[in-house]
Amino acid sequence: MIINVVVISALLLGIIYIAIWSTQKHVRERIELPKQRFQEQVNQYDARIMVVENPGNEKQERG
Amino acid sequence: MSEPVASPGESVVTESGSPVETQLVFLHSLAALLAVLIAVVFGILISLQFFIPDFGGSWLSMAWGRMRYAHTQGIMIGWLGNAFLAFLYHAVPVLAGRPITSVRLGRWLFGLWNLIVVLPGWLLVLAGISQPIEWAEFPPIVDAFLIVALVMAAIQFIPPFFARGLEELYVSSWYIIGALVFTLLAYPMGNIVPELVPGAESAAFTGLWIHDAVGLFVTPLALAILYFVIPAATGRPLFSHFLSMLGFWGLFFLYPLNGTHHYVFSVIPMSAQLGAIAASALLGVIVIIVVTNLLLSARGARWLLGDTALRFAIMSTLFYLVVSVQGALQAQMSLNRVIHFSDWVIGHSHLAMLGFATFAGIAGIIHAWQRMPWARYNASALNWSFWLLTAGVSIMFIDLTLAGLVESRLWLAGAPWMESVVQAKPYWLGRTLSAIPITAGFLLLFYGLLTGPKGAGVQALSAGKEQGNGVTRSSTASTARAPGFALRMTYRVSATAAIVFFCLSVFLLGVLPGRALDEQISAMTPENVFGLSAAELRGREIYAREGCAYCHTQQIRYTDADMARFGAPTLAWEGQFDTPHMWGTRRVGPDLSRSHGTRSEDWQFTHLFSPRSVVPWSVMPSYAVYFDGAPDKPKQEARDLVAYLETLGRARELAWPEGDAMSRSFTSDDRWAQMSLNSQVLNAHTGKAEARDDIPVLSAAGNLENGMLLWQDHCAGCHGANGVGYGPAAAWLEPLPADLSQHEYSLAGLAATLWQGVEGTAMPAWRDLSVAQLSDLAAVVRSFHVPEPEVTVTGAQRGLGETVYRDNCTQCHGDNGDGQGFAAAELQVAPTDFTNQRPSVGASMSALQNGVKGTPMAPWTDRLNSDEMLAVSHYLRQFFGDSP
Repeated sequence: MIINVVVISALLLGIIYIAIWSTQKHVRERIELPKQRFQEQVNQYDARIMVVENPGNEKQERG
Repeated sequence: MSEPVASPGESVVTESGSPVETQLVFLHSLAALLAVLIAVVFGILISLQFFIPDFGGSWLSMAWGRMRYAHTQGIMIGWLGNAFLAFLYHAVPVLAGRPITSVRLGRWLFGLWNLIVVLPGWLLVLAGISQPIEWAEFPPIVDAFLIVALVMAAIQFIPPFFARGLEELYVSSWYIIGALVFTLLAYPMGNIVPELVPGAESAAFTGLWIHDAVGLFVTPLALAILYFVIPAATGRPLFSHFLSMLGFWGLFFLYPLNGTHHYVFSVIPMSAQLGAIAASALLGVIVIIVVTNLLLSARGARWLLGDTALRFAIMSTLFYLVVSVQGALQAQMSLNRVIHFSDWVIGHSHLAMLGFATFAGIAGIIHAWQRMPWARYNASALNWSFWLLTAGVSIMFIDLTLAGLVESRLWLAGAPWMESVVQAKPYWLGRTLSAIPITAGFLLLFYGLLTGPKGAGVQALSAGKEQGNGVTRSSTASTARAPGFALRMTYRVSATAAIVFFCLSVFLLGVLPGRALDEQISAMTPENVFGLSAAELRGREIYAREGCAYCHTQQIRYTDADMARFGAPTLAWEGQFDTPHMWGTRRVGPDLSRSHGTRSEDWQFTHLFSPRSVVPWSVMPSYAVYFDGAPDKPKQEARDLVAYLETLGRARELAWPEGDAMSRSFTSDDRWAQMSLNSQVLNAHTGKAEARDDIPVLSAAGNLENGMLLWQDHCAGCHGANGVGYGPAAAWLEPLPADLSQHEYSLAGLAATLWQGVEGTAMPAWRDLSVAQLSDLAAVVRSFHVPEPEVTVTGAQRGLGETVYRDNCTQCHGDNGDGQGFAAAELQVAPTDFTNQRPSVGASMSALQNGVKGTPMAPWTDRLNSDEMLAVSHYLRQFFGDSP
């Protein structure tokens, strides 16, 4: 019984700590970073595809 | 920087130089589209059998159950599996910035997935080699190859992410890694463990797998697509990566805990059920967060008019919201009590697999396809495909949901079972018709990806980008400081915890309930319970391979409605020889848990051979192939199957009531077990023939018109339209159905026969009909009687008749003709009660001369001469007396 209470309390405290920690501004911003990276990647990928299909756009896209 | 290429089969290179293997995208997309068309054809053939039950004729591969296996596995593995793999070949190099592990491995994986798993899997289940576990119907040998394929997929797609720090991974990457890892954990658990543990324990693991298949394989990969396609198509970053990660972890922590909600009100320990119900509710909250995030990411996008992939992705998101909220609600006891086992659940699963997951899969395929400069692309066809699929899936979902409500209302009201079948038929027709736009949508999807100008997809993409799909691109610059280590560690801890949590879910919802069930089985099993004989085991295999469990459950739930209709709820020990279990999750036909002693063997044979001859509105397929041309010529398979049906509920019935009394004393603290043990009736089947003391009093003023309608539905199959005993099924029954024109019945006698049935014959009880309906039927039966001309019986003849009767008939028929002779109790079929049934002289003479086949009444020609037989035939008519 005591072990159960200790383990569950520790888990809950851990979750609460992570929850509070992850809401801090700089952590939030860090968590958000991958979406920016991903967006750059897909945008660049699409730009490259479009250049292949329409070479006239190449200069503009690379520019 | 290498230039992209524009010839078929060659790769397109990402910004980082990683090739996207378009050949593998192409191959898996084509395989996916072929698979979905085949799986849809299976689905259509299944749905047609609700109207043309004998559609497959004697070709068992076309039988309902086998095609149902092929349909669901085809959708999950053939269609969605290939669609997801096609998407992964496009997405992983983009997400990871690195190539997939090996192109050669990719070709092997493609071959293995399609030529060793999907195709043989289909052929084997159609040939009757299968595994009767829901969403795991391909046989174990195919499972083994699929596990190898999943390992190969993990090797192919996970290592490219290794170069990235965990904190750098985009949410789609997390979902891809999560799906591959967790499917590898869940698939063996769901496919192998139920084959090793029996009954309720087996069901506990099946419940986990049913939900893990959707929650840990289908959903994560579908969400990976949505998180990928929506920002890519709108050109704007996701609304919140934080919320997406919250959703990711929530999903992977909660989904494994949902499984047992498929067996609410079952014998599985209530603690496991309640845990699953709570997890289901929490999951609904998480899904709302996920969907909100996805929809906010698409805000401002003219998604209904713009990019086709985006359109499919947003519709998938909307379907996800509906199906998940619905799932969370229907897991709750109050709703589950009502809609479980009905078409509501079929609508729910179609919305999940054909709505949410399929639309995501299509979004992924179109997104990747559009970006293959050498691929053809017909935007108009794809546009039509979207609208047709949206309309078809929506119609099917609404239609089946309504069907479920109608069925469950009738079940709760205690209406005759067939009433729910009859009332559901218009909705089943609606479901079949919804296949028209769905099939057309898939055909147009196929057409749209294989026709049109080469490179038109990229051109459409360019046009969409120029218009910005209605949104403006935001800056992708970031000024965030980087608590990288802490975040990385948090993700590592979470990932480890998620795996631990999965194991914990198997322990909490599988192993722990299994141990509790084991204890319950040990404590409650009556002494000397025997298992199944060889013939019964063979019958069980037939039951499994023909998918009988997909229409007939073998679990009576702990609800008032189930107890009233079927009897005492199923206890764990009753299924201790069932490996894997046959509980089922759907009722088209009634539950079969208490089949033992419910129907006569000849009725069972006739029902298998020609279901509609004894149950006119039945939608059960005929299994005439198991007979040599007639029900009275069963092949071994039919004998085995009927032998197995006779085992269902046998052990408990044979131990009744002492067995339940003993169990009651051992489980006084188990409220649910007590509920089953305190049930007044073990087998509440309304058709079970048995002596009862609650026979109703029928009205002599029954309505003939109503009665005739009931007669056509319930009685004409055996007794014939005009009651002379020669209905379509009559020739196959022993004893023959009574010729009602040759018998005069008292109202009390008819009440007894209709209410109790006639034990030892195919005449069931009709306790599911109301007293008014029984009165109407009685009026019809009495109307069939053709009065005999009065014949004067001489005193000598009467004396002779009395002597003959006293010397030869009283042992069975009793001194006063009431059928209560001292030998009557020993006879399998009760002797005729002449006080309530007066046969014509002709009918009595026929019985005396020929005997009555299938009863103890033998011919009397070797002991009585014709005068004696005639005399006793006249004599016994006087017993009928003055009954009303």
